[in-house]
Amino acid sequence: MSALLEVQDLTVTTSTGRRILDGVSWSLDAGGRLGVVGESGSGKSMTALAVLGLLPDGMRATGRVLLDGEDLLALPPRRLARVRGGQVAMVFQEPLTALDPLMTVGRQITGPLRLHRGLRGAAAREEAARLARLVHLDDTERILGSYPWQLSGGQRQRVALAMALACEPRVLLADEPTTALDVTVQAEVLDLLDHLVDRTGVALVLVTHDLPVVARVARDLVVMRDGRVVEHTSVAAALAGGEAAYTRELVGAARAVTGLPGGGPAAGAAGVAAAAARRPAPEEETR
Amino acid sequence: MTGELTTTTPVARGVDAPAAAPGTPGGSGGRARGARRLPPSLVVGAVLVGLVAVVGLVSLVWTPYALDDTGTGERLAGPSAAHWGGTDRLGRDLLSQLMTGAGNALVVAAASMLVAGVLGVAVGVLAGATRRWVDVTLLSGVDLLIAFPTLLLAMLIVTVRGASLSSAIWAIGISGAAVIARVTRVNVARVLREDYVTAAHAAGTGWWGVVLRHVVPNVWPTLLVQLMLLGGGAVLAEASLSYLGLGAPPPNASWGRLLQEAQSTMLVQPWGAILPGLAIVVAVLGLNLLGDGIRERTDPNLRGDR
Repeated sequence: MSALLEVQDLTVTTSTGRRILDGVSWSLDAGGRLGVVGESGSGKSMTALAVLGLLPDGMRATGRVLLDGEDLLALPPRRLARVRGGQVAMVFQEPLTALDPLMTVGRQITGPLRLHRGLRGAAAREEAARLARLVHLDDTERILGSYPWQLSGGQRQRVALAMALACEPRVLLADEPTTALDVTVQAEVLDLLDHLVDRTGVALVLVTHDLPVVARVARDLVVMRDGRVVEHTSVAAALAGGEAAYTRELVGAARAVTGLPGGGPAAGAAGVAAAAARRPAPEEETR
Repeated sequence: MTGELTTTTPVARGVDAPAAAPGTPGGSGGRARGARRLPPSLVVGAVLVGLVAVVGLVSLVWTPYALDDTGTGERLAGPSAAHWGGTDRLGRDLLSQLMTGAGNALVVAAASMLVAGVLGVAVGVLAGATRRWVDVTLLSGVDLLIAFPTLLLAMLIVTVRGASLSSAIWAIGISGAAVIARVTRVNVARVLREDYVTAAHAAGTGWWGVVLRHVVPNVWPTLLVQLMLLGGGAVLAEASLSYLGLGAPPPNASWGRLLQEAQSTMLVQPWGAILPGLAIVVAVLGLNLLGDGIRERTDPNLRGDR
């Protein structure tokens, strides 16, 4: 099996029997970059949560989530906890609420270090400082001693990235990592994400409603609608004109409002950056 | 230090950092979050409670007269050099009884706070962290207990165990536990729904790790305030119980029993009623102010105002 992370026929049902995800399947190779796009409520964030078994109460997941052939859905809690953060890490949409307001940034970064790598004291602090520099949080000492509310949105998301990468995971799930940020910061964080994936070799699953963001960072694409996968293809193919009508509609709508290039991510990175800066949310227009 | 931090982070301010109000007074130094001036209610409360505590502690080793010493002078005398608080109708020294009463009041307050804290937090965390029937069952029990008057519960317990300090402690502690359990449950459930808890789970933190790292630090200030207010209530409840004769039996002194005994002689020797009354006011006010002060100091919503 070549795929690192493989989602097979993932179905999530609420306690009232409604299907939030319906037979979702996709795969991610080691070092791959997968974008999961769709409108609000299409189930893209739920997919990411279901992969780590973090569904809200009352929801049930069936199907298989294979990490190196091991089914995460069937793992006992203790072993799943070792996978979370250690093998598969996650970055959330809203970095302010995803950080504990009462804990300094330094302590939050050393948390996973202690948990998965057994680092303590000075060693943990040194590693936290290294991670902070890795995500370009200069002025490291001050930031590690700060509380989340003392940092800007971009700084907070960098902290969240540092926490996620603390234990050198093999897969990074990023759930709308730039949506809550303002546009100039979005571009910076995306660049950083791009750079980190290159540098650490972590496989990326980027969940977003923002097609230009995907075009900029991802190579493969999963388009979701109403809890189903509409299309699983490469970003370049989708931009050239996807198979599914919905994909074409999505790309067309994004292009109409943002000037999304037609030649794939490499051809127009600058154009996409400008587009992302001008118009961050094509979602409303795609409906 | 807060001042320095906020001025060196121009980015953080103005974006969405409501707590870092510009011009926050610097305070006396210390950690970033602790460097603020102490709220006056905290200081006054601590002084009043401290006063009662010191008097109570002293009474353990020394009182001017023994509690059952009736042959020390005139009965129902007003304050004098020999008896600073006067004497009661049996000629016992009032000051000695007040001092012992302070000790008993604080012991009951502290012990019932402990009972309420341990029971209440245990039940509250369990209810807040579980769903459906465990939560519903525990909550119904708690509601039932809250609806049940403390005095009635105390009478029940006294009927079973006999009148004593520990009966009073259990009665007050158990009814307090219901309130604490409710506050704990709400706050635990609130914190467990926070994104940073999901993020902690996503990072592989186990259930106990989340409770210790995130839930406890986020919940304990609220609980401490509730416990302090409960302590004030406990002093009052102990006075009521011993007024009714359900507290510590004589010759052990209690402010409530002093009040009850002074009732019939109030016109002859008003000090017998005034002094225990004042003592109760000081202790209750002190504990309430202390609770208020802790809330002011820890509540992030109030932090920005100063």
